[in-house]
Amino acid sequence: MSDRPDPDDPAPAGPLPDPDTDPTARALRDALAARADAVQPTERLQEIRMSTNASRRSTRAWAAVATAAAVVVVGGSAFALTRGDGAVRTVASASTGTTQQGTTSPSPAQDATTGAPAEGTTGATTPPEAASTSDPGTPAAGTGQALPAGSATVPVYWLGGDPQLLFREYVPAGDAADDATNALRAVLGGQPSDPDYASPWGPDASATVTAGEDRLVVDIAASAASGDAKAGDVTAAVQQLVYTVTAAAGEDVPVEIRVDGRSEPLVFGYALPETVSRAPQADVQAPAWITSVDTGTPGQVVVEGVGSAFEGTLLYTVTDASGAEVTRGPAQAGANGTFAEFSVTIPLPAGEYTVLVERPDESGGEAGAQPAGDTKSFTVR
Amino acid sequence: MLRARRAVADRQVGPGPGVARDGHDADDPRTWDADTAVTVLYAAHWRRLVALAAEFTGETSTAEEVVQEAFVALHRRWRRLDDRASAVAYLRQAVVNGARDVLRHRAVADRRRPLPDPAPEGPEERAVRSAEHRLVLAALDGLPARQREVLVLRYSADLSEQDIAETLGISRGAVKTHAHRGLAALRAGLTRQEGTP
Repeated sequence: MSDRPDPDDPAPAGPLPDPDTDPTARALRDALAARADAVQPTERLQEIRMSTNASRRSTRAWAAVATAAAVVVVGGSAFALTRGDGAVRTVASASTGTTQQGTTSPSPAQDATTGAPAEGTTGATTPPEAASTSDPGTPAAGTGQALPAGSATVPVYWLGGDPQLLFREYVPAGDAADDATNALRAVLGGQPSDPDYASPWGPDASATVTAGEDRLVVDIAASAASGDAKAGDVTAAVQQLVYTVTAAAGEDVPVEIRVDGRSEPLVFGYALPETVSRAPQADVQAPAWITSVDTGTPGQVVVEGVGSAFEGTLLYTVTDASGAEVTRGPAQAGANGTFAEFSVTIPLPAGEYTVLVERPDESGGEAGAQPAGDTKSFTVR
Repeated sequence: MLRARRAVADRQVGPGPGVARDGHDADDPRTWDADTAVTVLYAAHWRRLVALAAEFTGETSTAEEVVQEAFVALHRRWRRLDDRASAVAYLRQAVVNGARDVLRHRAVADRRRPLPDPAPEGPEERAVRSAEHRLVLAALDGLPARQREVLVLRYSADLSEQDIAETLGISRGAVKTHAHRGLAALRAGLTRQEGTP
């Protein structure tokens, strides 16, 4: 293009007004920022990959680089953990440098596991190598794509509150061949970091997840799904398992749960259909999760999480060790059934506290069952 | 029949920055292959680029398509990209070009229409409900296209004069002129509004 100004342009004017000193520029910058903040695009990484992968058949490359980025997608709405231009470093420090997250330091050994699945742990595990060569003729398990592997931590959903809703933590991955199997074993192991979370499932250290043509297949032992539960709690427990394995596999596909190898099994005494899909987030996910409580800076706490509320406004309340309220305020998250990240910085004198983040009670106390908030305890230096 | 698979990617970075298993350095674009570049840049810039494209196209779904195309183009070009450190600038340029292509195909009458009415109580309405924001944005959306583009790139994408000139393919002098004219029009519009009872 031409280096000359447009013919109808007068001589160049001075430098562009700085929004910090020019009120009109500031008003424009702020208004544009508000409009940009309101843009909630859907995720298209999968479509982009499909376009760029058109000439290649294998999805293994993507599984391998999946750890390079931290895209957190919760159901249909998605949020990159990264803010601003701070690329991966921001994410890593935000998620591992803070307390109360249910994440412990990743073991370096986990890094070497991709591509070298532990053969022999379970016969049903499909190694990534085998999965990338299609194997027509065999049904369901083993014909699908390779599951992502090698993550140091895996997402696990727990139940909390009454009615029971889903809360997510990241836990250190075990030594299974893929992330989804590690996540499944962790959910069955039932060791949430937050004492308010629980899980009705029993342990099964040899449970597996395999990728079928159009589904994930979960194999668990009958002992992991025995015991009594109310029907509503069974629904929540099944969603807990479905959310966990689809999250760790990175795909929202139906999940077939097999108990002792049988399809359409009994789970806690209730019969399951052949496959179960993720229920809508707004129906099963707790309105607020606290994912990080950072007390790295003395005299304050930074509380981060994910949530959804009417007009997006969640409420936080900080209480001291005696249970007395110290401060409260709003936290802006997602609105209208969409879940979005929130972050609040609360100045506090040194001491021990508990923070509660919850959806404000809009019913004026009428409706009985207010969904549970999430609480974390912390110490400010 | 394969059902459309939707990404859940409920995943977390493992051990943090450093050299990953496949030999790339998470912090150094020069070591990335095309797949890694797209994944990392997507995580960091997808939403922001869609917001930028939406300033040009007026709505989000077309903006998403434009930005998706930009990522695909980046992937295709990655091995031949001279300066990988400026991949974001490449993306931004592709987004602006793509958005302007879209606009060229729309009727001129449509070009300056404001954003469509948001859904009731939608997040957009929430964010834009501030009266001043609405005034400013309405005035912005009424400006000639070139002035609007310069102002958006300067005050939303935070580009320098030089970067705006390169992105739009015009001179720095023209960038200044369009910016000053646009701001003057906004200033006049806002003053007039404030004077109205």
